Amino acid sequence: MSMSRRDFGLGAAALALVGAAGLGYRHFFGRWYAPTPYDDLLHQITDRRPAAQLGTEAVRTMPGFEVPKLAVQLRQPGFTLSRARDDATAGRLTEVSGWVVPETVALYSALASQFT
Amino acid sequence: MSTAIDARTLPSGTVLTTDLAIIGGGPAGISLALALADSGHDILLLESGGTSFDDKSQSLYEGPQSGVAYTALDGGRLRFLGGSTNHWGGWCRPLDAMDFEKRDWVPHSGWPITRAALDPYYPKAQTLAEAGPWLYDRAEAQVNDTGPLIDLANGGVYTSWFQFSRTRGDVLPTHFGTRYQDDLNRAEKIKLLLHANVTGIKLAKAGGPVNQLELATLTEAGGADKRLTIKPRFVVLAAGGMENARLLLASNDVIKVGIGNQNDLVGRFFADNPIPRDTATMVLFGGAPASFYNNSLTLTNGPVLRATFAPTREFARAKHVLGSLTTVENPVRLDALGTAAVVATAQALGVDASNAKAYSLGCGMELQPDPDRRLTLTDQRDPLGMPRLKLNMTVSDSDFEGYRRTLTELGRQLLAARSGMIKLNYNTRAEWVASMDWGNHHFGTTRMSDDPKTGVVDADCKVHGVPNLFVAGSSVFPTTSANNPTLNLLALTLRLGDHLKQVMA
Ligand SMILES: Cc1cc2nc3c(=O)[nH]c(=O)nc-3n(C[C@H](O)[C@H](O)[C@H](O)COP(=O)(O)OP(=O)(O)OC[C@H]3O[C@@H](n4cnc5c(N)ncnc54)[C@H](O)[C@@H]3O)c2cc1C
Repeated sequence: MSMSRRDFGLGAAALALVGAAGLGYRHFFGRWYAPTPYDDLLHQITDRRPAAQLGTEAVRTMPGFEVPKLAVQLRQPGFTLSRARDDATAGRLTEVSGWVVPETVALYSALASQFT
Repeated sequence: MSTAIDARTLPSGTVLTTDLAIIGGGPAGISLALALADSGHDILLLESGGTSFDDKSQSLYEGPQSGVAYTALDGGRLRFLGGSTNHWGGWCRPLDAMDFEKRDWVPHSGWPITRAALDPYYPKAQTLAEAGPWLYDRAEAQVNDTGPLIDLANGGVYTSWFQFSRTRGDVLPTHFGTRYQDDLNRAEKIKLLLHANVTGIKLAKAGGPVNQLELATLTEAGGADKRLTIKPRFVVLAAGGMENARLLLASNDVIKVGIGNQNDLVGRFFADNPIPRDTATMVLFGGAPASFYNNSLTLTNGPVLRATFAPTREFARAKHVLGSLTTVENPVRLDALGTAAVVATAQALGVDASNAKAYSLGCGMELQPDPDRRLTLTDQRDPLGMPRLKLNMTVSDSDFEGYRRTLTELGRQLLAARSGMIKLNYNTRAEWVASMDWGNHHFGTTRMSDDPKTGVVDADCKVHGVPNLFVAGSSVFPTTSANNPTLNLLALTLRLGDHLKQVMA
């Protein structure tokens, strides 16, 4: 372990994407998606593209994944995307390609991956 | 004022008598000699090397290895006055109370002493290491001006602190030989014998005391030269975590298995702190952490600090993890998936991540004690006729799995606080092993236990069954903890000094 390290910022590309979270999402709101039977769920996701990207990997951790079954689960009372805020405190975490994410994020992202 | 004596200038066959012979002039040997300087006893400090690096002397440390890749035996230690502090990093952190306890999920754990036994000696140890005022877990109050701690929700990991041995320009931390040679020279009762290689510890009889040490010197060309004899009343072996075992095993003329080795423990349980690199990526949604996380911070009143993440006692017990000290290292770029994971998670948590920054995490880990991680003697001999050591290195999968649980908990606490998240970078043993450096902290080969069946030395660091032979250094640590050893071995050595004052009186 050395004592001093040089300080680098995130890569420019990464910043652009991470930055989008705080920049008003104009680009993403402008994006049009074909209607689906699950729009009540998908509309909770601010940016579907990054969620879909994460979701593609998340699906691999979900044996027997089926969209209708997932939708039933997500439509249960209290299972909105904002449930993610309590996931860590409740110990509901999922590992997706090494990323430790709230279980609810992984589930909504998995859904997004099927319609984006 | 006495100056150091070069053993090579003494006639072959010279016999020296002394009250106390200390074998090894590293931080343990030097600190012990200085602690006893005013005790009224004659002290002979026997150091294999001179005052600077010499490849002939260094090559006496060479030896073969098997098992997991590990630092070459002559690469992770230095054989001249000051020992391995001539290239140490100066990282200091005291042992925690739990490190001494029998942990039922850690086979062979448990010291015969508690942390309280070392408490009186830590202030002096801290002074010897020149690590500044004692802050450690009280450091938080001192760093307020520099920035906040990373926000972690309640859980199993907390922010703790390292302190550093003082740096001097290009010379990094305290080199004990350079720093304390004048003090050794000034002490009337201490004689420092340089270029003096102890090659044998002679017992009067089995169960009897050490009555003689054999010494040898090297020629300029690295061959065997003079043979000398020391007749001591008491002996402390302070030759480092590997060489302590080598000398005991090789001193086998009276007890055929080697001194202290009646229960086949000398050389077993060797351990070090693995330092896996880039174990995880930590993203902080709010941007860069306070500088004391990924750099050392020098406070105006002297101490040099760096923050680290440690598991709590409760978490360690509940989740059966070992010690680990996780550090924030250099910033890293996220790939597309990483960026997506951060954006998707931050949005779901309702957090602005527009300034998010990602960092690589590093770590110093504790290993489970393993009797098969072991030093043995080989048939190869060094130029002085001493059998060379062989190391068999092991790391168990459960060591990695345990540390992974600690990292996952850190990630959970970041998410629960909505301050960040982490990615675990390694899944397989091959990935962990490929990432690993070593601390070059040599533990365990003469472990401490009240029971001779489970330890080589007792709670006073005396070799079981030999009334006047003691061991100083981290070879007596039965478990390693994740803490760097030197501050702790200094405290234990100072405690040994107090004990010797009593028994030698
Ligand atoms: C690269 C590196 C970085 C490190 N960084 C840190 C750190 O940041 N923090 C930390 O706490 N620790 C660190 N360490 C470990 C630290 O250096 C050791 O814990 C410490 O030096 C051990 O002290 P010692 O006196 O027990 O043994 P040593 O330092 O090994 O000293 C033993 C002495 O005995 C002498 N000797 C050996 N054999 C004989 C013999 N037969 N006869 C006579 N004399 C003999 C040797 O020449 C040597 O001078 C580091 C080690 C290395 C290699």
